[in-house]
Parts: sequence; C-alpha cells; structure tokens
Amino acid sequence: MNSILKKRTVALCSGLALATILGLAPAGAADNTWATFNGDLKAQKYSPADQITPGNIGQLKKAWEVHTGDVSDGSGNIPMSVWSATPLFVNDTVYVGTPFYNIVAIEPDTGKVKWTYKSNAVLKALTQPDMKNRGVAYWQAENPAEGQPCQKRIYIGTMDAKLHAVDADTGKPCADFGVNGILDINAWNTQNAKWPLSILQPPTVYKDKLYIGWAGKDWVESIAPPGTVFAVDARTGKLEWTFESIPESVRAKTGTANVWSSMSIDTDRNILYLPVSSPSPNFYGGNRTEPIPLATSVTAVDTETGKIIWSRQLVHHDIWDYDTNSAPTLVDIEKNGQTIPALVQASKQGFLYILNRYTGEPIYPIEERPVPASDVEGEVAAKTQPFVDHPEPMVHAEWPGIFWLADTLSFGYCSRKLKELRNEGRFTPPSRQGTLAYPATISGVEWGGGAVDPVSQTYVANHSHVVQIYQILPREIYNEDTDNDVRETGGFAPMKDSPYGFNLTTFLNPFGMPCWNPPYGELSAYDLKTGNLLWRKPMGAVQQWGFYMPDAWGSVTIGAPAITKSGLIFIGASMDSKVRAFDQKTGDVLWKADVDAPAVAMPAIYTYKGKQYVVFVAGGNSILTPRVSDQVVAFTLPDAN
Amino acid sequence: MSRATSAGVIALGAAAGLIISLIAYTTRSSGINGTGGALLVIASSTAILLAALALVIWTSMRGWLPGTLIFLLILGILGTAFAAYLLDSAWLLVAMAVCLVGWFLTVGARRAPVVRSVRSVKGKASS
Repeated sequence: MNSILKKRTVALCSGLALATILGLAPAGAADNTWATFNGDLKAQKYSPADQITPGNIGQLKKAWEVHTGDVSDGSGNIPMSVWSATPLFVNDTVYVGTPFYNIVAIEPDTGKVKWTYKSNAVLKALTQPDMKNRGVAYWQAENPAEGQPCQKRIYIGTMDAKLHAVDADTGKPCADFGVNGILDINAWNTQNAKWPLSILQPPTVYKDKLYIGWAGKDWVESIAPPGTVFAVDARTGKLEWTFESIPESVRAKTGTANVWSSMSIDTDRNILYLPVSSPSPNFYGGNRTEPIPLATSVTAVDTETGKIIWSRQLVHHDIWDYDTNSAPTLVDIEKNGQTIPALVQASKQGFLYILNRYTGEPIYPIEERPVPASDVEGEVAAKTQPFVDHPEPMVHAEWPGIFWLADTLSFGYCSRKLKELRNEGRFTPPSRQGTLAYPATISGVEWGGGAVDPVSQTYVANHSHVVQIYQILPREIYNEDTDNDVRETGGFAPMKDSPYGFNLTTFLNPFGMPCWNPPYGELSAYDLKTGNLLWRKPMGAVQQWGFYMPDAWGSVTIGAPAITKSGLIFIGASMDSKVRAFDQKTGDVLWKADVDAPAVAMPAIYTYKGKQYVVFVAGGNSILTPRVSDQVVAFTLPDAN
Repeated sequence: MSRATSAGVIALGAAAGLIISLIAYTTRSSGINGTGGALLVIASSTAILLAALALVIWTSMRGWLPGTLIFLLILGILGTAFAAYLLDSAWLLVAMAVCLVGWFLTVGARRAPVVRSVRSVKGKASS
C-alpha cells in the first residue's frame, strides 16, 4: 500500500470511528450498544461484537443477575406478570422496564442497580389478562444543553395508557414532558373508547419524535378504538401527527387494526415501517365487509408527516387474527449482481414476505390464490389470499397430522375430533362446526420477528407450529355455554355487537397432550440472496412436571433471536427455562444455561470496558407455562478471555 | 468386598443424589425447581438410600428379603437415572452411575467367599 493510500485509509477509518462514537452512523447497532427494542432501528437484532465465538462459548459464565421484585404469579391481587422486555444498553447503563411499569437502571459490568423509577401504575388487567411489558425506549438530545436535566431520557408506557419520561442519568421525571413527566395517551382515545390504549410496547424513537402504537383487548369487542399511531415530540409529548389504519367511513362499526408491536425505520429515507394488526372482531368479519386495505398489512409512512408511502396487505379481510405482529427487518440484499434495499416481514401465517422497502414490490413472488369460502351466515370471506412459496414457508401448507402417541393415549380422541372439523387447508374460515386452524393465531413467528446478519445476509427466526380449533357460535348458543358471558370459560370470546361469539381451543387430547405431530417449534435460517432455506432445527424443549421431552419435539416459542458477527445466535423463547446459543452456520446448539423462567424477551448484546455481555430477561409468559420470574441475567467470558 | 461395603457405595450415591435433587428442587435457576419431577427423584433417591442402608446395617439379613431389596434397588437406580436424563440433571445421572457400580458390587458380593464364611460362622454359632 503506498503512503498516500495508507494515509487516506487511516483518515477514512478514523472518520468512521468518530462518526460511530458520536452516534452519527445510522447503520446497524453500534459495536457497544443495544439502544432499541430490536437492537437498532432496522430491527436487525445484530451485534458486531465478536469476543464470544463458537470456539469459546463453552466458557460463557453468569456475570451478574438482578431480581427487580416486580413479579406476580397471579395468586394475589395482582394479575400474573408476563415480562418480555428487551434490556437496553446505552449511556453506559443497562435499562429494563418491568411488568409493573417501573424502570431499573443497572451497571453493565457489575449488575449493581443505579436507580429505580416507580411509575405507580395501576396494576390491573385493564386490557390484557396479565401484567405485560416489553421494555423501555431511549432518546438523547442531538445538542445536549449542558447542566440541564433530561437531555437523555428513558420512556416507559403503562397498561392504563400513560407514557412516562425520566432522566436517563438520575431516574427523575422529566417535568417538561406531558404533565410532570407523564403523557396521557388515552386523551386521544376519542372513538369507540371501550378500553385504554395500553402502551405495552416501548415507543420507537427517531430524531426528536416518538412513534407510539398501543395494545387493546382482543376478541371481546366488535366496535373498538381504531388503530391510530401517534407521533409525538420526544421533549414535550406534543402530538405531531397521527396515522389511521381504518377508513373513516368504517370506524364506527369496527376498530383496532392497531400497531401493537415494534416498528422499524429506514434512516436514509426517513421511512417508518408499521406492522398493522387485524381489525375487530378478530374471527368474524360480517360487520366489516368493506375493504380495510391497511389492516393486517405492512405499511411504510413518512417519519415527518405520517403520509403513506406504500402499503401491502398480507391477509385480506382477516378473520384468523393473523396480526402483522413484528417490526419488519431492513437489510440490503445482493441478488443477481444488484443491491436491493429489502424488508423482511415475518408473519403468524408462516410466510416470509421479502419486499423492496422503498416500493413495497415483492423481491420473491407473492401470488394471489383462491381460498375456501365461509359457511357462516353473514360472513363474506375474501376469495383470494396472498401466498409465498419461496422462501419456503415456516409453516407448511399441510397441517402436521395426528400424533399417534397422543391419539393412542386418548383412545383415538384426536382422530375422532379431527373428523368433526372443517379442514380445507390454509385460510379455511372459522366455522360453526369448528375449523382446524393451521397456522393458528399463535403459530408462525411471534412479535419478536427475526434477526439478520447483514454481512452474510442470513435471516434467522424462531417459529411455532400450533394447531387450534376456531368455532363460531351463534349468540344464543354462546350465551348458553357461558351463562351469558358471566362464567369465566377458557377459549370463549364474546365478540360483542356481532351475531356470533367464538370459541378458540388448542387441539389437545383430554390429557393436555398436543394432537398434532411435533416439532412444536423450530429455528430456521435463510439465505436472503437466494431465498433458500439453509437449515431448520427443532428449538427448545417442551417441559412437563420438570421432565424435558425429546429435543426433536422442539417447543412453542415466544421471543426472538439476536445474532453476533462471530456467527452465534442467542435466544431464550422456549417453554423450558433455558437460554441457548446456536451456530449460525449449522443450527447446532453450542451452549445453554438455565434461567429462572422462560426468557420470552429478546436478549441484548453489548460490549463494555472491553468485555462482551449477553443479557436475558427471564420473566415467563402464561401462554407457555405459569412459571414467572423477575430475573435479569448477564453472561460473559471469564477474565482470561 | 463385603455386601455391607458395596451397599455402602449405593448409599453414598443415593445420598449424593438426594442432595443434588434437593438443591435442584429449591434452586430457582435449576430448570426443575418446584416441579413434580424433582420431587419424584427426591423420593426415589430417599428410597434407594434407605434400601441400601438396610443392606449395610442388617448384614445378617437372609432369605428372600435381601434379594428383593437388591431387585428393587436396580429398578430404583435405573428409574431414577432415566428420570435424571429427562430432567436434564447430569449430576444426578452421575450419582446414579455410582449407585449402579455399587449395585454390581453388591450382586457380586452376595456370592463372595467372605460372605459365605460369615454366614457359616453365624450358622454354627446358632446351631
């Protein structure tokens, strides 16, 4: 290398390093931070840290653990806690939001608690059956005013629709935000306000704005708050713009189609990507036969104005509760000698939609195909639905079939039940007799979405195979079965103001064993350059009375993976209380450790004072098991490394 | 090796298994704390320990009882080892391996000359 070239290279490297340090590099997660729910605004869940490798991961040890004290098994006055918070590492601090809506700031190397913010939130199941939280968000001023508080802030939402802003250094409320540091999102809940707009997902932060979606009370109401997304000023909480997912003419008789999970942002073009959920009621659409094109879609809007740039509906007239439920992952794909700005949208239905993120056009084909009609009076199911054959779907077209063991142990119950059900493949509508729903509402990829290695362009996601039964019940039968909706009966949903109630059951034998063939959950890796499946392995383990079932059965999973530059995939997610590391190349398990409860949150990966850490929140989720905890646990290599 | 000594090896393994199971049952991050499976291996380790101690203490035990105990011991050891495998408890598996070694020694010891001579001496004394 000649001296001039060497000098230019050094200057370029220095410039890039400086830009990264100053937070100006808009690309992926900076080497040492995990600043957002998904690691970065592209939702890549990728860390360039490479200290922990497939070669030394066997030495990984617990560095510290913290118990926040915010946990409930539901036996007392407080509903069960469901804790899915991604820890953030930013501002030299680990920040965690708790299911009681408090914030804990932790020293990244010792686990010592720096400060705790108590939100004094209402601890009642106002919209969700459990106390849920998916973490906190971080903002910092581009030009911090010296000596002034709240130049760096942490935000946490609550189930009763309050958004709290506190100083990231001290944990003191930021008085200039909302009223004394609390913004009442419910003040904007003005149409069909049946319940508060629960802020369980931390806002997405970009420049000086917070983008806020919300969660509601699914399955109960037909007429519900419409799915508004709010953009507010990060300093004051002043409303800047709103996005509406439901046409004004239809809003009076439906609702939701909200954004309840995280969002992603293309910082080059200032585009906000919204995963929009299904409208209400979730399993009957006779009240909302008009087109709602933004429902169950991925929609791109301008970050400054909220104006729609493009939108692609992934399920037409959704009557399966196939919410688009995770932030799309943004990544550039090298294909046929071209670099394509892509977006990968995972889904409950198991399709991977890979689109040009600037136009919404498919990079791999999406084909409209005829689907079965509804036999429920008043329902008008869509005649066609979008299908993706390549990349290979995470949920197969055929349902897994009867599991001989479950069938034999129940003296043929599974086979007999199957004969009663309507089953015409994907998108068979809910029916009076009961429809075999596969994929079902908790199938495919959950709210965590996937992770991507932007260098190798490998996309990884955990996905579940769950078979459920969707049964529509005329109102009088529903009322009989539920004593006029008074009796607490698992699986029944009233869908008030519609002619039908609903019964959702998982296809189990009388002993609680799944009637369908395992695996129940897998981890898959795709080469985005070709769309080819690289490997697919059962992930996690089913655990009953403490006994682990065979690895080949896998586990239903909730949560998501994180990838490192060194070729490791870290993930909890499974119903056994273990966290694991997989080899990105082969899908083999290289390391696992026990934690207090299922780690149904994404891990955070960071480097601090020269050491790489992987932090898990092990909080549990009642969908998987009743096991709950308040544990935050960090792993690192011994000092010799 | 005498039957008492070899049964002592079983008792040692079972005691270790009991401690391991108790720790697993009470430790939050064991993966099996508070579970029925952990309770089951606590019970089975205790049963193995008691049966092995019986062989250690009552060396003069004769007739069908020692044979029955030894048969039940192998069922208990193999059952607990299988449960340990399903509970993903490697240390309990090691403890049961120790018990298994002790069990083979005990089976061998039953026919050992030392045992026979003890029996014959006792037989003479009682006649």
